Amino acid sequence: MSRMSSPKKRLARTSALAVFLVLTLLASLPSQVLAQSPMAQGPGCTDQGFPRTVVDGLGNEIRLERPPQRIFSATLATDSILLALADPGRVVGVTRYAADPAYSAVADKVAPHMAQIDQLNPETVLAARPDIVLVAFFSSQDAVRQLRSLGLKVFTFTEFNSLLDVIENIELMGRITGCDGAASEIIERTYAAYGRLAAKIASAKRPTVLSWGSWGSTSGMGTTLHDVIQMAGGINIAAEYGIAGWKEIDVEAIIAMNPDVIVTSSGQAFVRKVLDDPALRSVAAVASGRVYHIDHTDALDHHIFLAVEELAMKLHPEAFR
Amino acid sequence: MLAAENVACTLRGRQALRGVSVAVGAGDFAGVIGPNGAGKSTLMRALAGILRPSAGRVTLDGRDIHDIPERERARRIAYMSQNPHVAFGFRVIDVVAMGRYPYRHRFSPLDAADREAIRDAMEQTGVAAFAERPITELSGGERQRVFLARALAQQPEILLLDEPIANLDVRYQLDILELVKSLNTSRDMTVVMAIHDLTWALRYCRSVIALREGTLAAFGPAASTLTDALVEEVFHVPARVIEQNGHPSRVDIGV
Amino acid sequence: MIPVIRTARGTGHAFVIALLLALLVASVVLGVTVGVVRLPYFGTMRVIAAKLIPWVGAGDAAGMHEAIVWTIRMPRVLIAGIAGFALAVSGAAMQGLFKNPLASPGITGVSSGASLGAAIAILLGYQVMSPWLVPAGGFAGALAAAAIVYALATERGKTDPATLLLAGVAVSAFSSAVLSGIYQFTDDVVMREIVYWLMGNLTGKRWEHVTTVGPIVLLGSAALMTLGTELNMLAAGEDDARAMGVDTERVKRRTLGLVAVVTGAAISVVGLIGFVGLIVPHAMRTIVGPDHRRLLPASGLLGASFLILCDVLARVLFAPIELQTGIVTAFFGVPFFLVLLVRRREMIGWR
Repeated sequence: MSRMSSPKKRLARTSALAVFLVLTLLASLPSQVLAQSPMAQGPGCTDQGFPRTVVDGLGNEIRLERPPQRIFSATLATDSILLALADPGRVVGVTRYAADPAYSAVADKVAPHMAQIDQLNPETVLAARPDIVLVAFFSSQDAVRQLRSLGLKVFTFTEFNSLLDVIENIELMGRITGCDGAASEIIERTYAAYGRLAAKIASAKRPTVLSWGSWGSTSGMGTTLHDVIQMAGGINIAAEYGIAGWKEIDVEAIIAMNPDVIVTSSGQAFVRKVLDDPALRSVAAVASGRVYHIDHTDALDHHIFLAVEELAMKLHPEAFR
Repeated sequence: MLAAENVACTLRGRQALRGVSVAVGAGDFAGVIGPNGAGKSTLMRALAGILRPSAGRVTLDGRDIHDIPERERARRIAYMSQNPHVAFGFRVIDVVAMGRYPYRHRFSPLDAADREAIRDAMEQTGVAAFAERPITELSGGERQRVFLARALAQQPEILLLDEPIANLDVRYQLDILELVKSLNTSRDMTVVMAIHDLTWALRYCRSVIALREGTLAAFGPAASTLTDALVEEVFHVPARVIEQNGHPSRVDIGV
Repeated sequence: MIPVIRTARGTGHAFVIALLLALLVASVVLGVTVGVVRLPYFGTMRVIAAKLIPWVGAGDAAGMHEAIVWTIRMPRVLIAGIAGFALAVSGAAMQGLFKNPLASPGITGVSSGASLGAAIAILLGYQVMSPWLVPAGGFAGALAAAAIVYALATERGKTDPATLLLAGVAVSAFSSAVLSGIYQFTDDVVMREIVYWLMGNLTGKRWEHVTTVGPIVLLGSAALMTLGTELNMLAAGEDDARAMGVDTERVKRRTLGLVAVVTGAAISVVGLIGFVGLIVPHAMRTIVGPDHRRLLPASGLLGASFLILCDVLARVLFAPIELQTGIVTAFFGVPFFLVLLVRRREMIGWR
């Protein structure tokens, strides 16, 4: 209990409080700036919903106090999705394939400040001082363990075998980076585009399609390319014949399967080779000239839907007139 | 001293020796003769204790030779195989030093006794001058003497030599035979030597072991055992043992 | 032509060993200071000093610099050294056992067995389960191959070296065939894992690898070195060696077993790295001579340095791309062979 304070004392107390508040604000300002600067986040990204725990494909729980600002991506798949969602300023490392337009749709987003690796290289990763490292299940397990033993957070992506996996990976990336909004936006756009596509080709007869590459292998059930064919309104003949995963097939098998269409990602030269091959002359696809190279079939991010569209246009040209 | 009692040996499925019984007394110089494939080398290896007979036994002073620990046996019996050879370019002195293995402990360097035995062996065989040279640089005759030195470095009581002069010049043949003879007479070393040349056998050996197709054709003192008839029986060639000064001195083949 | 530095006394040899030790230390230093990430030399030295001497602190090299040097590079360099040591000593022992200067540690099928063992472990998904299941598979495969080869070549306690070689070839061929079969029936990813493992690599090796494999390799190599005299005697041929009192069967058995353990341990951790076990002992023989008591330790030391240096090249030659270390050793191996071939032709007198 106090007596009625004099005006001088009140002023002193208010000033002290003000100074205290300003000092506190100043002290917390750097982290606030980093956390909330619109530059560092990019559109569709916030720090709402943090801290949060994300669970990776191997079941590891990773706690994120705030959206990661120094992300190191160690596979092309994660490079592509990451750079599509988050601001490049938050990415401190990618694979060198990400910078190569022949492999990557986001090559233009790779900036000089990003370290580039070939295989997962613990030294380079560590030197970039990341706050999270994104790897795939096929990255060197020893290297991953080494990174974990150094105290780094490592998130392993494990599903790369279907279109649904692509969608889920985009969602996951959104959760990790705090760019849930951007992720949702991409996913909705993709679904919408697909919906329009599906409407166009719904009633069309489905031709049998064989995927084949210069390596001699086809994509059976449980591969992304299988989904692409199915979604583009075709029937994956390899799956019909019970092939699962990527398997080598020989010319006799192709003749036996007799697909209506053959698709490849191995380029026009390969298309020509198939069309000119005397052994394949009896195959329906070769006889009718329906051998196509489709771009983007190797894409590991939402650009794979471009392949769906392109293939659909080739399979059902009449639906697009 | 060293005896084979009804010994049989199988090599690669073939019966190389059958029912061979011989005894070599201390101080004896026995020559093992016979055509190729008669089983000379097999008998030598059995006597050396490195080939286990499939029947019968080899004894050293009455004990089964395979009951004797290897190192102990190696201190008493030295064996030189046909065409001995050393891989890699070991120096002469290293090769001779190998003969001291039966006397040495694992991690100990060569001691005085070892060094003396080595030096003695090299001097006896006249290879001391080559001590530091790699054995691969020596001629056939020189090399054979090095291997003989290695056997001597074992300081054995019994010396088993399988065709020690087979591929040598006559001069070296004589050198080695004279050396072995002197070891036998002055050092009381028992010698068993497989030999091709019947004249040498007659001249140098005191007893003769004749083998034919894996069996013992004859065994006894050289002079009385190595007869025309024996040579014909064993080698299937006519022969005449020529005497000189009352002693058998050479064997002429084909007369 | 490298002069042969041998004397009857040990002094020349002591000099060679000292030189090799110095080379090894220099290689380790090089391996730790050089890498994809450029680190200041003295900072690195400071980190090492801090780890070895209690009262020295790492100073401003602490943190990331320290982590890179001590957690990433040092175990990697040590594993390279240990594996190089193992392969070179094993190679020297095999060359002695078979009296063939072109024998290698894997000549009895040990490498193929290790490959198959590791491949099966990878196939069964063990890589993700635990860091030790694939190396364990490799090690088991190596020992199994050695046991099979020994059994095939041994009858009534006598082991025939020629049959050993043939059995080794058979086991290798069998492993290759099974591996090809595995590739056919698994998907790309598993195949890629296996091939990657087979090429030999040192990425991600940690201190626990060093402390597990190190003792096995060092103890096994020490045991091999005690067979030096006997390996010398084997050079005289089995009959003569036996006549001199050597238990040749025991020597063969021990050498094969120890080589299987030492090589198996090394391969199981670093994959297949060729040529070290072949080139190093062969070259070392021209320097220290054929006496295995000297050849084995000298080869081991040179092998350790050689592999460390190959690994440095693998890491920095095409940075940021990291070569497989096995490719760098092959790179040195092939010209070495050509030189050997040319010299041999001169020796034989071909024009």
